[in-house]
Amino acid sequence: MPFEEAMQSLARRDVLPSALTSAQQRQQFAAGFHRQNFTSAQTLLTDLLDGYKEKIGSILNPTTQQRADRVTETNPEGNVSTGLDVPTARLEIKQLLQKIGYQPGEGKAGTIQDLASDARINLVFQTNKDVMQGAGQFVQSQDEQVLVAFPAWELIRVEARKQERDWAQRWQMCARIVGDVGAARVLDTTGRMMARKDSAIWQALGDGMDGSDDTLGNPFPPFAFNSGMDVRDIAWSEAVELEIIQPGDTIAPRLPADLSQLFRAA
Amino acid sequence: MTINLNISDTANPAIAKMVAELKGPQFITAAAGAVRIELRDFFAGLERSRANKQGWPRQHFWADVRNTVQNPIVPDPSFATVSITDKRYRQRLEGGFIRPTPGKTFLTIPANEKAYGHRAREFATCILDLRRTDTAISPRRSLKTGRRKSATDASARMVRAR
Repeated sequence: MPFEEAMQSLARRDVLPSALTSAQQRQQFAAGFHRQNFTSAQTLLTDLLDGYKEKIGSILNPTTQQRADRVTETNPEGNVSTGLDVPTARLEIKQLLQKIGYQPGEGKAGTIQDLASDARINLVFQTNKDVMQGAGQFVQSQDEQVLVAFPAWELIRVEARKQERDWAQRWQMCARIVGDVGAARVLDTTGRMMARKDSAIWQALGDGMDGSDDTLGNPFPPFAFNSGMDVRDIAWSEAVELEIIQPGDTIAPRLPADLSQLFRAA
Repeated sequence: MTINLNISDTANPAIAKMVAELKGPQFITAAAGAVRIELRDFFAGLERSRANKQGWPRQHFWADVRNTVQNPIVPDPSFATVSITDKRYRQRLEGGFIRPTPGKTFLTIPANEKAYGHRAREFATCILDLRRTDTAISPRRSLKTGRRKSATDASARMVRAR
């Protein structure tokens, strides 16, 4: 079964060449810019952006083919899942760049500014894949019945990093800025970063309101490039126990206009 | 998965009201949502505990799988589906054969850190090392993995990338 909301989020993006850095794009454009446009920092090559978009689509949406040579007793239809993986997609991007005669700038070969470097290609694939999946998960999580059963999120580390950013500090600052007293209190008392799903803290993290310049502008994870952080649903009972919500509270769906079109009807 | 709920005191109006509210899509959504959380927590645990055995840079496979666990779909009040859409997961779960894609004869298995997570064609030169097995040189044409076994004997094929 395909991840429909993630695929639709990708399909709705227009390819947009840009000479700006990521930080400049975030400063100059409205929140949601990256959700509506497929772009990469300082990348003006439309063919390259088209290539990335197509390959990310294949990674997100493996399809099922039927092949006679794969028919077995347990698989009588010969179903085979197909779709790109990141190493193959990276190889194809490198071949595309070779074909168009791309050369990195002086002194940039092998660095993140070299469009053909592993570091750059991996970052583009991983970030966009994570953002599409994050958008899809976010849209799904706004279902009213899901909000009743799981009204809060906890920000957790899923992937280890050699240098881990201080997310607790970001959380405290953002909680203070948006006035989410409950979120700040839970961190102080339990060491956990939890908040209602309709708290403004999530957008604040995505906007880097604490002064961070590595954020992606979204109210859902990944909140920043290559962060390794994600969220975990918190059940109603635990949210009440920690006084993040009161028993009679209602959590309203909080979909930005560009994502509301992806909402899956119950 | 079947979830059974037994309530012994149905005379209490508050409990009767709760039971009535528990039936239907709300209950199944909550129950299936809990299954989704369990799955995501399980995969997060694998991501934390299963570093690359060779000490090579991690590819974060389990984190990727975790990202593809969907919110439940409830087509009717008695049934819910929680999907995992990462195409690689089924082979990990059920085992089976890994074969070259159509048109190719061999699998390429990384021999060192540099090759790990890459396609052989990404390298300018690539040396195929065919090692003799018991009876003949046997480049690997397929790889069979089981649910509980590790990958089959690696002595049959190695690829060194330069």
